[in-house]
Amino acid sequence: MGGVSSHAHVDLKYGDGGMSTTISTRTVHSDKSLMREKMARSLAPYLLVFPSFVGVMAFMLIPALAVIVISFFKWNMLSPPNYVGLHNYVDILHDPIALHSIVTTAYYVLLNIPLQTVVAIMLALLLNRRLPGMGIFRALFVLPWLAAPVAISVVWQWVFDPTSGVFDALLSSIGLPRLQWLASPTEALPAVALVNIWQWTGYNMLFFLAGLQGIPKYLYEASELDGSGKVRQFFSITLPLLRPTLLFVLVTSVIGSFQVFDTVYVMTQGGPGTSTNVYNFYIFQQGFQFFHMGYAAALSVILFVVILLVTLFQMRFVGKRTTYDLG
Amino acid sequence: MKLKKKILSVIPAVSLLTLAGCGVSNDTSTSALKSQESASTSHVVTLRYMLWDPNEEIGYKKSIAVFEKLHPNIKVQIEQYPWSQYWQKLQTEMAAGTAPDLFWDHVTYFPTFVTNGQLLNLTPYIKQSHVNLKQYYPNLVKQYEYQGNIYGLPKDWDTIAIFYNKDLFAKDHVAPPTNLTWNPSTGGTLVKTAEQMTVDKNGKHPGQPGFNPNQIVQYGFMSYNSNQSFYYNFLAENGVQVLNKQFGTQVLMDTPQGVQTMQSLMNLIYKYHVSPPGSEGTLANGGANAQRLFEQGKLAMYTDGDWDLTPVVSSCKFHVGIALLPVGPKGRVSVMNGLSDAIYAKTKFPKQAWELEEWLASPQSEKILASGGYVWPGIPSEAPLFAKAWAKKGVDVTPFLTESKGKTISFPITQNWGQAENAIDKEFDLMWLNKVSPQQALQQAVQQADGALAGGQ
Repeated sequence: MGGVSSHAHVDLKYGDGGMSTTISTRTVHSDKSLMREKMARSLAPYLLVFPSFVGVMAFMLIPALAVIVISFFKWNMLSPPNYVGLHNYVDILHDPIALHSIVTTAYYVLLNIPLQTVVAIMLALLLNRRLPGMGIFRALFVLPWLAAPVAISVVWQWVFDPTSGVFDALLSSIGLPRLQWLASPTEALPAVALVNIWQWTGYNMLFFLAGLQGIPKYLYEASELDGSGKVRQFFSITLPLLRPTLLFVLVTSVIGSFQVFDTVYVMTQGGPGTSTNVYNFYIFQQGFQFFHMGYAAALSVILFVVILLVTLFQMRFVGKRTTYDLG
Repeated sequence: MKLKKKILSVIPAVSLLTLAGCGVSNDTSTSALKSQESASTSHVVTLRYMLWDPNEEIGYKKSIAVFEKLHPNIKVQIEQYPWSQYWQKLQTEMAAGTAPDLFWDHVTYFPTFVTNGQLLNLTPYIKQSHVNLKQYYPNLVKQYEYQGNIYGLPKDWDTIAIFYNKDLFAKDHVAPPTNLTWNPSTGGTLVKTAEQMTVDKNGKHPGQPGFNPNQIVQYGFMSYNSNQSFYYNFLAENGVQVLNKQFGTQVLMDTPQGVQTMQSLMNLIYKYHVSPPGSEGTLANGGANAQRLFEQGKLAMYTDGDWDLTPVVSSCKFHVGIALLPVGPKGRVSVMNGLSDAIYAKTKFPKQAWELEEWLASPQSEKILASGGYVWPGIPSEAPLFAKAWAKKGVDVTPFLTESKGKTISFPITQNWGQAENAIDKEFDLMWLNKVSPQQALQQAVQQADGALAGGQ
């Protein structure tokens, strides 16, 4: 992704120093040097883009195209690939585990996104004050996002342990019934979602915090003069003006939720049964445990299409009437 | 969530590319090495040898040090990856054409490799070097045989036995579980002993008045979702076959005996209350939980393979005893499995790789590994060395050996077994959690496993 963002720096300006040297040569062969300078000028941007272009090609576009091509083959990586046309896609339609994993993933996204987004906005409101030590709080909430997902998952696995875990000790100490957490087919997915919410809320909060600080103070002052309370201010000023942030956070976090993998891989391996067998984990299993590369590629293409549709939908409905310029 | 998308999409691509990069650089470096060698007179060749067990790696280093002295023209570079990553790494390298010259092979993956032409046929080399195949366990030789040819020499084996906490049995004045029986209807003396060793908060045992199954502090035995270490053995003892034949495509576990066996294993949890809850025994953590509870002194006995001797014994603060599996209706039967070294079909140095293969399966090398207590040797006559090494550490491991000489079954060996096993594992998780009956679980599991073996995806 670093490659993409560096496009922004391509728009460089040429300094006067370079000009003055060309002027001095122009007196001798004015036409030729003018041509050369034009050439250099038009070539320079391409040269500057080239490294990131190579990066994007090698790490994103070519692999993505390769996945589409591979999805029409049967390939175990050990023998030459076999062209099978749309066979893999037809198989997916008849694969109960694949269909179930789509439902599981959708459920996971629903568990994650609303809660995570609402909590992130609330945290941002709380932390958007000038109080001593606020910086420490802000840092604390972002900390989970900085930790390695695998390490986090291992620790949470201990927290969730049904016989010696921290959560159960807490629950039983206040007289509540014990839960099975990761060991229960109904509780495992919410438990995984909980870990992800814990990990990502602080990070999303940062965007909302930035969004809040971009809202001009005079709007609140004016509304106060008009006699509106805090609640009215939130719904009439804060939320509408946070819309661009909200759109960004929703799009990226929905994509991330659809592609959840590492926490599932470490904590449940898709189990118990198929209760946490999310789509991305199933792709991994088909590809790197059963070595059905063509099938895994076809599954990935379908995921790509689903995410594309969901994102377009979000742009349509959340993105509508969004103001980006608060000047 | 944000960065996750990027990380997930970029990392595989990056790692694939770097992998490919490694492959290329390796290629050029080895070929450069080669041309250098042919120019010089020494002809030193470096072989890559991949394995997964970090405990045995220490022993293999010792053996290879001797090999390198005997073969001054061959250097061996060991690459160790944990089991969970090993096969991905190996298969990706095979796809890139840069797999290690020699690597540990397991029966789960052997069929896929051999049918896709990734393994070197060793039969001509065996004949040429006059290797005496009769010195090995015959069942181990047969494991790596395909269409009459041999693709790996046996270098070790493992069986399953009961690990028990000697101190706990002595403290509770219960006779050590050295000669138990088991049957699917009453559970035999296995259940009786497990009941005596299961204690609740008030010191009561299962079956006693006032016993509270929700407040057990010490468990007698463990029923957990592990095939090789646990339920395959009990299925075999009740006359149930897992797979119809080597390279077969039919799973046979769903017989009345199969249902009866699994029901009896569930009874250990839900009827007799001698095992930790099913939620502790599910696939993702069952094996690790059994080991942990045992090491913490909360579990009196459980079944496990000899490959866990080193990690378990070294983390137990009490004396560990090893006992024979209980005798079932069809006698005492253990899963017996062995590893072999496979030679990569596209190795640049088949001759040197064979020399290493031959050495690692030779009496000299197996002697080094057995007498260090690293692994049971594939040559039966050297087994006492392994037992002696463990006797010095105060553990009598001979039950594993006794079982290897008795009735044993092999791990299922067939193409795509990995996926079939995954389907069974998932269905069995629900059975362990008491969400489906053994009857339903077996029916579902066998149906899905058969589908996988028939070539489905």
